[in-house]
Amino acid sequence: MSEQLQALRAQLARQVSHWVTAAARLDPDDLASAEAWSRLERYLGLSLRQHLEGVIASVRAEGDILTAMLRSAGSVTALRELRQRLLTFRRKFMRAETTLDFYADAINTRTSSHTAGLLRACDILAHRSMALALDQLGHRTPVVLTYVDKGLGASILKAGLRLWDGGKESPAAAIKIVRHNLLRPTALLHEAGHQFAHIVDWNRELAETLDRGLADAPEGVAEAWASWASEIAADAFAFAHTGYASVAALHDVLAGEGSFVFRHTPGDPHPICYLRVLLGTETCRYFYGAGPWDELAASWSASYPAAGANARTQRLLEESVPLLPRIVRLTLDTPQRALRGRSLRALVSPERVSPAELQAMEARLGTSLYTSMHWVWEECIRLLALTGWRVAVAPAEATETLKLQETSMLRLGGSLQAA
Amino acid sequence: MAQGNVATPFLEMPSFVSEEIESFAAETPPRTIGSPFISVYELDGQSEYTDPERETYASFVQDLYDEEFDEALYELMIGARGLHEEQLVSSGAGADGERLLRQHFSQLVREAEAAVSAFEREFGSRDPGSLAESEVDAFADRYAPASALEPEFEEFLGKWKKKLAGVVKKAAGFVKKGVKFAAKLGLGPVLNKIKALVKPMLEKVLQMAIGRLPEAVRPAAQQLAARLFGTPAPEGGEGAAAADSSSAEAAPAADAGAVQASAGPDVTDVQQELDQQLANLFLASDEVEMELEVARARGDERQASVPAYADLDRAREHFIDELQNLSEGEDAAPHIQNFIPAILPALKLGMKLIGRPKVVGFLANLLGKVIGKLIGPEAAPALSRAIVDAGLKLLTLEVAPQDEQRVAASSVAATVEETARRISALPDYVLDNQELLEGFALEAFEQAAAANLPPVLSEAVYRERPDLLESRSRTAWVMLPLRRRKRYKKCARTFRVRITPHMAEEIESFEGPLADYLSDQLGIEEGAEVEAEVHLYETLPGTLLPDIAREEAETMKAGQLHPLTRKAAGLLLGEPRMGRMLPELNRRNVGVGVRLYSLAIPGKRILTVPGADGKPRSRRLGGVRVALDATRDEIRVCIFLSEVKAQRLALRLRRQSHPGSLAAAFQKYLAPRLAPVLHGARPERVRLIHAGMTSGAALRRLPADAATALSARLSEALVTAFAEFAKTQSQRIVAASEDTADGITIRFTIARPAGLQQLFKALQPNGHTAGVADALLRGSRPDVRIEVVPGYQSE
Repeated sequence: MSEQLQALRAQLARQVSHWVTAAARLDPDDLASAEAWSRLERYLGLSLRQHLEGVIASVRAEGDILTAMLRSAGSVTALRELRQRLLTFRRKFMRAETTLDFYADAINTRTSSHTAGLLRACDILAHRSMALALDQLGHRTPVVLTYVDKGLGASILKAGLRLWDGGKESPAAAIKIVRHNLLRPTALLHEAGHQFAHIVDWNRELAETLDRGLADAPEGVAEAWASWASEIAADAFAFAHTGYASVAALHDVLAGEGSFVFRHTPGDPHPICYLRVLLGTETCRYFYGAGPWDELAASWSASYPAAGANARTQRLLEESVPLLPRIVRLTLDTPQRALRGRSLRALVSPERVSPAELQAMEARLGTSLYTSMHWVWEECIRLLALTGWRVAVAPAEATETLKLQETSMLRLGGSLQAA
Repeated sequence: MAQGNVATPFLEMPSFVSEEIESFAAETPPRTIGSPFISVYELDGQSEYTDPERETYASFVQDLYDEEFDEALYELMIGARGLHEEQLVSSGAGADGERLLRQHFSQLVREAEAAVSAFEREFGSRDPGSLAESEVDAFADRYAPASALEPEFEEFLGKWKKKLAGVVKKAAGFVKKGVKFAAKLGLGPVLNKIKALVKPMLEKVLQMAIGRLPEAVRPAAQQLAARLFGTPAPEGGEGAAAADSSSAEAAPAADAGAVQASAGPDVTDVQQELDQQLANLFLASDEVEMELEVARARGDERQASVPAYADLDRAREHFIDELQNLSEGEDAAPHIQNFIPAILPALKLGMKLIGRPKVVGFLANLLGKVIGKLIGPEAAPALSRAIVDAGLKLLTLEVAPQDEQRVAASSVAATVEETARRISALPDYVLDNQELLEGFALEAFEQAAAANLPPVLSEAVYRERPDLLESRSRTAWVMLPLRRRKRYKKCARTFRVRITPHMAEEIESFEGPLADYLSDQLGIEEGAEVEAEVHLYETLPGTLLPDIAREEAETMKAGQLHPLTRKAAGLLLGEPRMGRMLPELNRRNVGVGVRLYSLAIPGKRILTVPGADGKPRSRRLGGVRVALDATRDEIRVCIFLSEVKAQRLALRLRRQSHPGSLAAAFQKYLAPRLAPVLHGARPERVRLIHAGMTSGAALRRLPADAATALSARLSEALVTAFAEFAKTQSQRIVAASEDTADGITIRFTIARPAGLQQLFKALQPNGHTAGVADALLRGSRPDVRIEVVPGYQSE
């Protein structure tokens, strides 16, 4: 063997050994503590573990190929081929590590039994919100992994998407819920709405529906609203499940600087915040008539006069506002192919979470609504709608209301022992 | 003597019965030992106490019984079994596994003994007469173990504290009543001795966990009999044997023997034995008597247990090997003759064949011939193919070519095993007569073949003899796991079914209608139809439901398994013969050959509540428990309403529904649940508190009119009392339902019910049953007291 060959081989052997050893060290148990794993609901834990083990097995299998190639490489050409393969392996390793770290970080946010209880409740809320609609459409609902993080708004890594490692599809809908909203997690349902729309393939159709339904609007308006279809769908989903609570919570997140409220970035799937809040209040009016949302809308418009936007955006706002009732109808009350010819309203009735219905539920079930595992499970989403509504209309009692929400979430998440 | 051909499509040959018919009657089987634990309360013909000490003793033993302690022992045993199984799978080392398990248990032994010491320190030097019940309960609640316990031990320790508190309260109660012979030596010395009972009791649980039969407690039973009646207990535990044979008789002919009790005790036996030991200590007249009791318990602990199930597991694997390696034309009879004796000790009725070596030899020859067409290098591959075609690969992911080869031998072994089981249940007059035995044995083989093998005969045969198939689905049953010791059988195909609410109401599960499981545990809306995939299983000797769940899936729970009765099989699958008739439905002690099913419903899994150890546990299903108490002359009925049912009731009460319609709904709930209890079909749900008996199975002795009268009279008392209560005190139900506990218990106490004493007289083995129905129906309406408590209470 020539010296060059030997030298090349030695260098590659060390690297192969390094990376193969690194791959051998990948272990789901090292990513998160046994305690953190145990704080996941069993089904979710198994599903994630299986996925991560698959990711690791795939990296290790590639490592085995490297080792075999090194053993048999007897020429410079073969060693060069090995080198190429090694580079591919490194990329694969990094991608796998990104996947593993993502889930490890998510799992590790279940730092205490208290947080774990709240997050398990979030998993259930998001899952049940989707199942309610997906069951009717004959689709299977994915498991949900909620994790808590800093920030203003929630986000989702949808189940069924190909992950960084380029291998299998993500095994769970991973939803980030931000700390400030942990007890008002209507945003969870917005994210679950994204997953729902993805599964039934609704976004494209809703965009077409909006585009068609607003065809008579001034130029650019229909296109703008069609481009926001995915976020509108998710907002509508959250509204159908939690009513005014979702609108009030969305308002509180979006009520930032004027520049933020009026920001319009073409290509951004999010509607201009100003319009998004008004669409929410208009949705309330559409389904429930007059109510506290009218005051919120008035206050919103007063706080952020449209004049604060640039001329182009201002025109879009002014041209859009009169169309909001129609946009609500197109989104929630128009039959869609993706929804098997039904409207979202027919699948998930917003009337069930009208303030009157919520108050009637509370009167009917009394204290049991918050203490009985049956109602806490059965009505978990309407309970969120109820407490969210109450926080919105009676902010002075928000602390007590949120305590109720927290207790029922802990009960739902299995962290509060029955007496 | 001329012999006709034996009429089975599996075999066309002259009879085996020789010219000189040999009488098997000459063989004397050993006395049935059945369960080494006899039903110590069922002492034939003896029902009246002859002195107050005996009455005190019986009352002590009966009052100490706590159904929740049974549950705790069962959970402990299941946890240990899981650990042991893990050990076996990972290292395969039986002895090591046992040692590790014992080590694991040592923490619990220590802590349970420490709890006794704590009770001794607290109450040992106190005058029992000065103790208030609340004080004892408060101490039990307060007491916490010194070290953090394994979560699975916490539940047990909680119930152990309750048991100890019960002992102290009971002793104090006797002293207060002036019963002079109770705790004569004071509480201290007695509590001190209880420590010595902990290890033997837990040792029995451990033995049961690893598939051994703990040694008999007959000496304790005999001592009890001597104490109560001054006579020894009937040799051989005839109480148990009688109950077993009545169970077998209760099953229809087709299922007789196919389904029978496994040998060995269950956790109730272990608790009952402990309760006797505790009573013996409290009523001991001196230190020597106490020492004797302790020595007896320790002696039991040291006695070798019988590894009946482990032996059968090994023998079965060996038999499968032998069948697989048979050369063409080689007779399997010698291997069968070796295998049958390993099957019998694992069956309660198996003892009938032990000691009848000629019968076993005859059967081995017969079975050796009839399985000839199914085994050997030429026949086995065809059978394997048939099993693979029947869906083997859908059963498990682990099927390799060598498994396919082995599965034929495994199915033939299962058929032989089931045939032997069916034969073990045959009456003596058949076992004693060669000619009869031959005919019955072939019938048993055909039924076993139909239940285990895929269709292996020609279409023409099945047209002529449709009884040779169990169902149109033409499936096969395979023993699993494929490569390890077998734990259960699984049907190679699944069934897609649509379950309507009406079907779910009609199908009985262990706790009540299947509808309860669907709504209360799976959270399926009332009135909804569900699509489900049905998976079918069958128990082997020693199989417990958690064994199946553990092997099937990490996320499966034993609560997902339901009995596949004839009715369930008919309604769910349209194949009633695939079901099995069960004399009783007891989730903790299912027996051998019991068919079960689980339902896979997309997106649905058992709803949980956090348990005492913080771990999630399944929501409890509702049910009715009855105590017929002759000593207090009262009937107590505890109706536990699941959380779902409790909330529905509270909802109606808040709406102030019409009392009549509430009572009608209550009656609708009660009727299908109460009647099986009072007819003895759910003996674990009824307690008979009387000198001579406790087993609810004794209710099966009641004539139909008496059972019906009891049911009618009790229903009347409960429904009218409930209607009145709902009208005047509904707030108490609503308040209980608002508690965070899982479900509510409504406890009815019916004072001096008419006919109760006559009923107990009738329940004696030779009791007079005439006029009982009249006595029950006579009399004015009894006083009924109702209490409502949050959560589950068994009494």
